[in-house]
Amino acid sequence: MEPLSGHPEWRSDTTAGSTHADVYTRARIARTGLLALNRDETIYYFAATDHDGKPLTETCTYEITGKPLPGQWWALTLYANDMFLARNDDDANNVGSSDMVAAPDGSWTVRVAATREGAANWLSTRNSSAFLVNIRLYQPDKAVQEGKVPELPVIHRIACAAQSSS
Amino acid sequence: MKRYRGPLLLALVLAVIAHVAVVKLEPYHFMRGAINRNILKGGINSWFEAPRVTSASRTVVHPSPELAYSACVYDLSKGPVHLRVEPMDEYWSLSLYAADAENFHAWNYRTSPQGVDIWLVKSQAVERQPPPGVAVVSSPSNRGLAFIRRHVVDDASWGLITQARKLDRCEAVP
Repeated sequence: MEPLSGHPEWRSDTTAGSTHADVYTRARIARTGLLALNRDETIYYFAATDHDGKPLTETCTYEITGKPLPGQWWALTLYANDMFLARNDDDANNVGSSDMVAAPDGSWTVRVAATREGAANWLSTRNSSAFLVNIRLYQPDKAVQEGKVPELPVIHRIACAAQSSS
Repeated sequence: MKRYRGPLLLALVLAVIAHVAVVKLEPYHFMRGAINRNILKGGINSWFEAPRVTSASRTVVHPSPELAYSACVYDLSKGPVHLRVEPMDEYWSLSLYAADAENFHAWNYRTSPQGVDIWLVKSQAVERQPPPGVAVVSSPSNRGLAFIRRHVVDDASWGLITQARKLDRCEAVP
Protein backbone atom coordinates (compact mmCIF):
# COMPACT_ATOMS: atom_id res chain seq x y z
CA MET A 1 0.00 0.00 0.00
CA GLU A 2 1.28 3.45 -0.94
CA PRO A 3 0.94 6.49 1.36
CA LEU A 4 -2.04 8.68 0.46
CA SER A 5 -1.30 11.99 -1.19
CA GLY A 6 -1.12 14.75 1.45
CA HIS A 7 -1.47 12.21 4.26
CA PRO A 8 1.94 10.50 4.56
CA GLU A 9 1.00 8.46 7.65
CA TRP A 10 -2.13 6.90 6.13
CA ARG A 11 -2.40 4.03 3.68
CA SER A 12 -5.48 2.41 2.22
CA ASP A 13 -6.42 -0.52 0.04
CA THR A 14 -8.92 0.80 -2.47
CA THR A 15 -9.62 -2.71 -3.69
CA ALA A 16 -10.11 -4.39 -0.29
CA GLY A 17 -13.12 -6.68 -0.39
CA SER A 18 -13.64 -5.91 -4.07
CA THR A 19 -14.19 -8.50 -6.76
CA HIS A 20 -11.72 -6.44 -8.85
CA ALA A 21 -8.79 -6.94 -6.46
CA ASP A 22 -5.76 -8.58 -8.07
CA VAL A 23 -4.34 -11.86 -6.76
CA TYR A 24 -1.60 -10.14 -4.73
CA THR A 25 -4.07 -7.78 -3.06
CA ARG A 26 -6.41 -10.69 -2.31
CA ALA A 27 -3.55 -12.66 -0.77
CA ARG A 28 -2.44 -9.72 1.39
CA ILE A 29 -6.00 -8.90 2.50
CA ALA A 30 -6.54 -12.58 3.36
CA ARG A 31 -3.45 -12.44 5.61
CA THR A 32 -4.05 -9.08 7.28
CA GLY A 33 -7.75 -8.27 6.91
CA LEU A 34 -9.74 -11.39 6.15
CA LEU A 35 -13.47 -10.67 5.71
CA ALA A 36 -12.87 -7.03 4.78
CA LEU A 37 -15.83 -5.10 3.39
CA ASN A 38 -15.79 -3.44 -0.03
CA ARG A 39 -15.40 0.33 -0.34
CA ASP A 40 -19.12 1.03 -0.85
CA GLU A 41 -19.61 -0.32 2.65
CA THR A 42 -16.44 0.63 4.50
CA ILE A 43 -13.07 2.16 3.71
CA TYR A 44 -10.10 1.25 5.88
CA TYR A 45 -7.10 3.50 6.51
CA PHE A 46 -4.01 2.32 8.35
CA ALA A 47 -1.16 4.26 9.96
CA ALA A 48 2.00 2.59 11.26
CA THR A 49 4.00 5.85 11.31
CA ASP A 50 3.47 9.39 12.49
CA HIS A 51 3.17 12.39 10.15
CA ASP A 52 6.98 12.58 9.93
CA GLY A 53 7.32 8.96 8.91
CA LYS A 54 8.63 7.61 12.22
CA PRO A 55 7.21 4.24 13.33
CA LEU A 56 4.48 4.39 15.99
CA THR A 57 5.74 2.92 19.24
CA GLU A 58 4.47 2.39 22.75
CA THR A 59 7.44 4.31 24.20
CA CYS A 60 6.23 7.59 22.67
CA THR A 61 3.22 9.85 23.20
CA TYR A 62 1.17 11.14 20.25
CA GLU A 63 -1.77 13.37 19.46
CA ILE A 64 -4.15 12.69 16.63
CA THR A 65 -6.04 15.78 15.47
CA GLY A 66 -8.85 15.73 12.99
CA LYS A 67 -12.36 16.65 11.90
CA PRO A 68 -15.53 14.63 11.29
CA LEU A 69 -15.00 12.19 8.43
CA PRO A 70 -17.36 12.03 5.42
CA GLY A 71 -19.43 8.95 6.14
CA GLN A 72 -22.32 7.67 8.23
CA TRP A 73 -20.00 6.83 11.14
CA TRP A 74 -16.35 6.20 11.74
CA ALA A 75 -13.95 4.96 14.36
CA LEU A 76 -10.25 4.96 15.21
CA THR A 77 -8.91 1.73 16.67
CA LEU A 78 -5.44 0.99 18.01
CA TYR A 79 -3.93 -2.45 17.33
CA ALA A 80 -0.83 -3.99 18.83
CA ASN A 81 1.92 -5.42 16.63
CA ASP A 82 0.16 -8.83 16.56
CA MET A 83 -2.80 -7.20 14.68
CA PHE A 84 -5.16 -7.66 17.67
CA LEU A 85 -6.26 -5.19 20.35
CA ALA A 86 -3.49 -4.48 22.85
CA ARG A 87 -3.73 -6.70 25.92
CA ASN A 88 -4.62 -4.21 28.65
CA ASP A 89 -7.68 -3.38 30.75
CA ASP A 90 -7.77 0.36 29.96
CA ASP A 91 -10.97 0.09 27.88
CA ALA A 92 -9.42 2.66 25.51
CA ASN A 93 -8.71 0.80 22.28
CA ASN A 94 -11.33 2.56 20.18
CA VAL A 95 -12.86 6.03 19.82
CA GLY A 96 -15.21 7.18 17.13
CA SER A 97 -17.99 9.43 15.92
CA SER A 98 -20.43 8.02 18.48
CA ASP A 99 -18.30 8.85 21.54
CA MET A 100 -15.65 11.37 20.44
CA VAL A 101 -15.55 14.56 22.55
CA ALA A 102 -15.25 17.32 19.93
CA ALA A 103 -14.98 21.12 19.88
CA PRO A 104 -18.00 23.17 18.74
CA ASP A 105 -16.56 23.29 15.20
CA GLY A 106 -16.39 19.49 15.15
CA SER A 107 -12.60 19.24 15.43
CA TRP A 108 -11.16 16.76 17.90
CA THR A 109 -7.90 15.62 19.48
CA VAL A 110 -7.06 12.13 20.72
CA ARG A 111 -4.20 11.45 23.11
CA VAL A 112 -2.35 8.26 22.14
CA ALA A 113 -0.23 7.15 25.08
CA ALA A 114 0.10 4.58 27.84
CA THR A 115 -1.74 6.83 30.32
CA ARG A 116 -4.80 9.08 30.00
CA GLU A 117 -3.54 12.13 31.93
CA GLY A 118 -7.02 13.67 31.89
CA ALA A 119 -7.45 13.69 28.12
CA ALA A 120 -11.05 13.85 26.84
CA ASN A 121 -10.27 11.31 24.11
CA TRP A 122 -7.68 8.62 24.65
CA LEU A 123 -6.27 5.56 22.89
CA SER A 124 -4.16 3.45 25.21
CA THR A 125 -0.85 2.16 23.87
CA ARG A 126 -0.10 0.03 26.94
CA ASN A 127 1.28 -3.40 25.89
CA SER A 128 0.99 -2.49 22.19
CA SER A 129 4.71 -2.44 21.30
CA ALA A 130 4.97 -1.15 17.71
CA PHE A 131 1.30 -0.38 17.12
CA LEU A 132 -0.87 0.79 14.28
CA VAL A 133 -3.97 2.96 14.13
CA ASN A 134 -6.88 2.03 11.91
CA ILE A 135 -9.73 4.25 10.71
CA ARG A 136 -12.94 2.58 9.59
CA LEU A 137 -15.16 4.90 7.58
CA TYR A 138 -18.58 3.28 7.30
CA GLN A 139 -20.92 4.15 4.45
CA PRO A 140 -18.48 6.71 3.04
CA ASP A 141 -19.79 9.61 0.96
CA LYS A 142 -20.07 8.95 -2.76
CA ALA A 143 -16.98 11.02 -3.68
CA VAL A 144 -14.85 8.98 -1.26
CA GLN A 145 -16.28 5.73 -2.58
CA GLU A 146 -15.22 6.88 -6.05
CA GLY A 147 -11.63 7.48 -4.97
CA LYS A 148 -11.43 10.94 -3.41
CA VAL A 149 -9.13 10.97 -0.38
CA PRO A 150 -10.94 12.73 2.49
CA GLU A 151 -9.25 15.10 4.93
CA LEU A 152 -7.72 12.54 7.28
CA PRO A 153 -6.47 13.21 10.82
CA VAL A 154 -2.82 14.03 11.49
CA ILE A 155 -0.66 11.99 13.89
CA HIS A 156 1.87 14.15 15.75
CA ARG A 157 4.61 12.71 17.94
CA ILE A 158 4.74 14.68 21.19
CA ALA A 159 7.50 13.00 23.21
CA CYS A 160 9.31 9.71 23.71
CA ALA A 161 10.42 8.05 26.94
CA ALA A 162 14.05 7.64 26.01
CA GLN A 163 14.58 10.75 23.90
CA SER A 164 13.35 14.31 23.54
CA SER A 165 10.51 15.19 21.20
CA SER A 166 11.42 15.81 17.59
CA MET B 1 27.28 -23.13 -19.56
CA LYS B 2 25.04 -23.98 -22.45
CA ARG B 3 24.07 -27.36 -20.92
CA TYR B 4 22.70 -25.57 -17.82
CA ARG B 5 20.43 -23.30 -19.84
CA GLY B 6 17.62 -25.86 -20.18
CA PRO B 7 17.48 -26.89 -16.51
CA LEU B 8 17.79 -23.25 -15.40
CA LEU B 9 14.91 -22.23 -17.66
CA LEU B 10 12.82 -25.14 -16.38
CA ALA B 11 13.61 -24.19 -12.77
CA LEU B 12 12.60 -20.60 -13.49
CA VAL B 13 9.31 -21.65 -15.08
CA LEU B 14 8.56 -24.00 -12.17
CA ALA B 15 9.38 -21.25 -9.67
CA VAL B 16 6.99 -18.83 -11.41
CA ILE B 17 4.24 -21.47 -11.51
CA ALA B 18 4.77 -22.29 -7.82
CA HIS B 19 4.75 -18.57 -6.91
CA VAL B 20 1.48 -17.90 -8.77
CA ALA B 21 -0.11 -21.03 -7.27
CA VAL B 22 0.85 -20.04 -3.71
CA VAL B 23 -0.42 -16.46 -4.16
CA LYS B 24 -3.69 -17.61 -5.73
CA LEU B 25 -4.30 -20.29 -3.10
CA GLU B 26 -3.51 -18.06 -0.11
CA PRO B 27 -7.05 -16.59 0.21
CA TYR B 28 -8.50 -20.15 0.08
CA HIS B 29 -6.09 -21.21 2.81
CA PHE B 30 -7.00 -18.38 5.19
CA MET B 31 -10.69 -18.66 4.37
CA ARG B 32 -10.62 -22.40 5.06
CA GLY B 33 -9.08 -21.60 8.44
CA ALA B 34 -11.84 -19.09 9.21
CA ILE B 35 -14.51 -21.57 8.08
CA ASN B 36 -13.07 -24.39 10.17
CA ARG B 37 -12.84 -22.16 13.25
CA ASN B 38 -16.47 -21.14 12.81
CA ILE B 39 -17.58 -24.75 12.29
CA LEU B 40 -15.99 -25.60 15.63
CA LYS B 41 -17.89 -22.75 17.28
CA GLY B 42 -21.25 -22.77 15.57
CA GLY B 43 -21.45 -25.80 13.29
CA ILE B 44 -22.70 -25.61 9.71
CA ASN B 45 -25.79 -23.67 8.58
CA SER B 46 -26.12 -22.10 12.02
CA TRP B 47 -25.19 -18.67 13.38
CA PHE B 48 -22.27 -18.37 15.73
CA GLU B 49 -22.89 -15.24 17.80
CA ALA B 50 -19.52 -13.90 18.84
CA PRO B 51 -19.25 -12.41 22.32
CA ARG B 52 -18.45 -8.72 22.63
CA VAL B 53 -14.96 -7.87 21.33
CA THR B 54 -12.45 -7.22 24.11
CA SER B 55 -8.70 -6.82 24.36
CA ALA B 56 -8.55 -10.61 24.89
CA SER B 57 -10.30 -11.45 21.56
CA ARG B 58 -7.96 -13.39 19.27
CA THR B 59 -10.23 -14.92 16.62
CA VAL B 60 -10.06 -12.61 13.58
CA VAL B 61 -7.30 -10.03 13.05
CA HIS B 62 -8.18 -6.34 13.45
CA PRO B 63 -11.46 -6.91 15.33
CA SER B 64 -13.62 -3.83 15.89
CA PRO B 65 -14.79 -3.23 19.48
CA GLU B 66 -17.70 -1.20 18.04
CA LEU B 67 -19.17 -4.15 16.18
CA ALA B 68 -21.10 -7.28 17.17
CA TYR B 69 -20.22 -10.14 14.86
CA SER B 70 -22.31 -13.16 13.88
CA ALA B 71 -20.95 -15.76 11.46
CA CYS B 72 -22.53 -18.71 9.69
CA VAL B 73 -20.70 -21.28 7.61
CA TYR B 74 -23.13 -22.20 4.86
CA ASP B 75 -23.06 -25.46 2.92
CA LEU B 76 -25.14 -25.60 -0.25
CA SER B 77 -24.19 -29.13 -1.31
CA LYS B 78 -27.54 -30.53 -0.16
CA GLY B 79 -29.71 -27.61 -1.26
CA PRO B 80 -30.55 -23.99 -0.48
CA VAL B 81 -29.84 -22.29 2.82
CA HIS B 82 -32.29 -19.80 4.30
CA LEU B 83 -30.60 -16.63 5.58
CA ARG B 84 -32.52 -14.04 7.54
CA VAL B 85 -31.22 -10.92 9.29
CA GLU B 86 -33.40 -8.96 11.70
CA PRO B 87 -33.12 -5.23 10.91
CA MET B 88 -32.14 -2.62 13.48
CA ASP B 89 -32.13 1.19 13.50
CA GLU B 90 -28.37 1.38 14.04
CA TYR B 91 -25.88 0.25 11.42
CA TRP B 92 -25.89 -3.42 10.49
CA SER B 93 -24.70 -5.30 7.43
CA LEU B 94 -24.73 -8.81 6.04
CA SER B 95 -21.79 -9.82 3.86
CA LEU B 96 -21.39 -13.08 1.97
CA TYR B 97 -17.89 -14.46 1.35
CA ALA B 98 -17.11 -17.29 -1.05
CA ALA B 99 -14.45 -19.96 -0.49
CA ASP B 100 -11.81 -17.67 -2.06
CA ALA B 101 -12.69 -14.87 0.45
CA GLU B 102 -14.45 -12.81 -2.23
CA ASN B 103 -17.16 -10.57 -0.73
CA PHE B 104 -19.71 -11.43 -3.44
CA HIS B 105 -22.81 -9.82 -1.91
CA ALA B 106 -23.63 -7.31 0.85
CA TRP B 107 -26.69 -5.64 2.35
CA ASN B 108 -26.92 -2.98 5.05
CA TYR B 109 -29.38 -0.93 7.08
CA ARG B 110 -29.66 1.69 4.35
CA THR B 111 -30.01 -0.57 1.31
CA SER B 112 -32.30 -3.04 3.12
CA PRO B 113 -34.09 -1.30 6.02
CA GLN B 114 -36.54 -4.21 6.11
CA GLY B 115 -33.71 -6.68 6.83
CA VAL B 116 -32.62 -9.61 4.67
CA ASP B 117 -34.59 -12.74 3.85
CA ILE B 118 -33.03 -14.92 1.14
CA TRP B 119 -32.45 -18.42 -0.12
CA LEU B 120 -28.76 -18.89 -0.85
CA VAL B 121 -28.16 -21.39 -3.68
CA LYS B 122 -25.20 -22.75 -5.64
CA SER B 123 -26.86 -22.20 -8.99
CA GLN B 124 -29.67 -19.94 -10.16
CA ALA B 125 -31.45 -23.08 -11.44
CA VAL B 126 -33.47 -23.63 -8.26
CA GLU B 127 -35.89 -26.53 -8.45
CA ARG B 128 -38.08 -25.19 -5.68
CA GLN B 129 -39.49 -21.72 -5.49
CA PRO B 130 -38.94 -19.78 -2.25
CA PRO B 131 -41.93 -18.33 -0.36
CA PRO B 132 -43.16 -14.90 -1.50
CA GLY B 133 -40.86 -12.09 -0.42
CA VAL B 134 -37.82 -14.34 -0.17
CA ALA B 135 -35.17 -13.55 -2.79
CA VAL B 136 -32.75 -16.07 -4.33
CA VAL B 137 -29.00 -15.31 -4.31
CA SER B 138 -26.41 -17.60 -5.85
CA SER B 139 -23.01 -18.31 -4.30
CA PRO B 140 -19.87 -18.92 -6.39
CA SER B 141 -18.91 -21.81 -4.10
CA ASN B 142 -20.73 -24.56 -2.18
CA ARG B 143 -19.22 -23.42 1.09
CA GLY B 144 -18.69 -19.92 2.34
CA LEU B 145 -19.28 -17.56 5.20
CA ALA B 146 -22.20 -15.26 5.97
CA PHE B 147 -21.15 -12.44 8.27
CA ILE B 148 -23.33 -9.96 10.18
CA ARG B 149 -21.90 -6.78 11.67
CA ARG B 150 -23.99 -4.67 14.03
CA HIS B 151 -22.94 -1.34 15.55
CA VAL B 152 -22.52 -1.53 19.32
CA VAL B 153 -23.15 2.07 20.39
CA ASP B 154 -23.28 1.35 24.13
CA ASP B 155 -24.33 -1.28 26.67
CA ALA B 156 -28.03 -0.68 25.92
CA SER B 157 -27.53 -1.33 22.21
CA TRP B 158 -25.77 -4.60 23.04
CA GLY B 159 -29.04 -5.67 24.72
CA LEU B 160 -31.02 -4.80 21.56
CA ILE B 161 -28.53 -6.73 19.44
CA THR B 162 -28.97 -9.79 21.67
CA GLN B 163 -32.74 -9.61 21.05
CA ALA B 164 -32.31 -9.17 17.28
CA ARG B 165 -29.94 -12.15 17.07
CA LYS B 166 -32.73 -14.45 18.28
CA LEU B 167 -34.64 -13.65 15.07
CA ASP B 168 -31.70 -14.19 12.67
CA ARG B 169 -31.77 -17.42 10.67
CA CYS B 170 -29.14 -19.52 8.90
CA GLU B 171 -30.62 -22.96 8.23
CA ALA B 172 -30.84 -25.56 5.48
CA VAL B 173 -34.15 -25.35 3.62
CA PRO B 174 -35.99 -28.60 4.50
